[in-house]
Amino acid sequence: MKNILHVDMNAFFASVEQRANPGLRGLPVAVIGSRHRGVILSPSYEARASGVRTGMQYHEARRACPEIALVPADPAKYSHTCRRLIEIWGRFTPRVELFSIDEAFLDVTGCDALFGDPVRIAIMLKEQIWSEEGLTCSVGIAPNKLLAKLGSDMQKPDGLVLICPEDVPDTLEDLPVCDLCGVGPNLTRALAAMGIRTCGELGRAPLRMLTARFGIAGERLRNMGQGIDGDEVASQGEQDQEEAKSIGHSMTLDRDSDDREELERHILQLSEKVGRRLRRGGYRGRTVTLTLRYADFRTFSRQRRLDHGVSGGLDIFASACDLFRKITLEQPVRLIGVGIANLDRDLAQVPLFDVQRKQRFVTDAMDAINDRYGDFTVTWGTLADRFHHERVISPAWRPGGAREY
Amino acid sequence: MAVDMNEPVRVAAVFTRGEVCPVWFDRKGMQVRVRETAFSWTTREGSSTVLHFSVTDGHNLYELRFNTGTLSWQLTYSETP
Repeated sequence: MKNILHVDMNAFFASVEQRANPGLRGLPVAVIGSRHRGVILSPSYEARASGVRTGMQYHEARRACPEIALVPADPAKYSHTCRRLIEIWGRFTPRVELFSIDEAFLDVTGCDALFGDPVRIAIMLKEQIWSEEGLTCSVGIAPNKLLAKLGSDMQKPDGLVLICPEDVPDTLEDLPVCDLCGVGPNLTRALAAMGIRTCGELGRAPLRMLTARFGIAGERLRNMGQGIDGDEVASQGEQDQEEAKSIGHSMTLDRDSDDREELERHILQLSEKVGRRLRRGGYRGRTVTLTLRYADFRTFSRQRRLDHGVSGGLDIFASACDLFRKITLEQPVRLIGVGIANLDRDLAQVPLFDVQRKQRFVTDAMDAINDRYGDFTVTWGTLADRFHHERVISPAWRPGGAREY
Repeated sequence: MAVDMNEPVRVAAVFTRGEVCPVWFDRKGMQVRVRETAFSWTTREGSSTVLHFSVTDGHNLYELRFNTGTLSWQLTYSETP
């Protein structure tokens, strides 16, 4: 039987900010998207006690908790802290799978001889995180990832929950299906329409009925209802070796805008960032995607498939911009994203024609300067008037490889 | 009041066992003694590592940054109650 730990850092961004500013400790604090945008990303537990929740607008949070301190997100602090947490987790097992910037799975199977049983390991791990980083976490211990994640969600903050194999049927029987990792609102609604609301009901549902509705995912869903999950914990090395499937950047604008010239400059900046990451990772891509979100949060994407792979920011921009120019804006834009998919390895073939060769030399020279002095040290004139943007941490962030920004 | 800034600053720091610990820095002609380094983190600026320190003098909060490539200190933030 495997012993899997799921570690979930409690109110991670807010806790890091409280650690960085002693004046905020013990007070209701919330981390917001940026100085100009007031969406709550991470409320502290003191703020949660007053009803502040992730995703609220800042004025709603102020209404719920008038004394709340709002702190703009500082992703560099969170990614740095995440790297230190990975170092702590790695003391107990090499099999650490980062699930997001504040969550990880640890496979501690066979580590008993070194550190004791999984509960002892979880206690040591919590103590070391607290003493070295001043942060609390909730830990779930179970025979698989699905149940370990469920366990860490059961007791917050600073929780420790052990789910033994013999406890699984009772634990799942009346548990709403939406509490399972991977079952979102749409799937919950679809299951409810079939009369399935709890994990117990999902585990007993006829396989034929589930596969008729969800295809091959039906079997996995029924297994989830029974607490069965064969997914292995992927180590850091295995995750790094995974080929990226797509690379993208998005930005929420400081203010909603329908100024096409301004929006195109943002598209150029995003295209440059995507191109830099492609080239760093040694990739090129064939499908460019432009994503826009209107002020009312309506979001849509447009895609273009190219007949050859590209890795240059200008090539990506040309396609993204072409897509953008075909869109009639119905309202001001809140968010823009540029991405590229259908990636393959860029084998650095020397361009045949002089224009392309010169373009490659310019890109290489810009990359060399920016590698040494920092991104956007040398950039296009259009971006020279500091079209910089506060960085936002991506859900796909990883401490290395093409997913690091 | 919170103020973002980008001021070069004279800092006295102890470098020991691979760690940097700011001890005092100049601010408006006064020497500010660091009571506590609440948090430190690193970023990259091109090929240089930049160390950031969130420090207090027991009353105000400051952020100092040290660019290990240029060996220069900057005061980037101050917050007074």
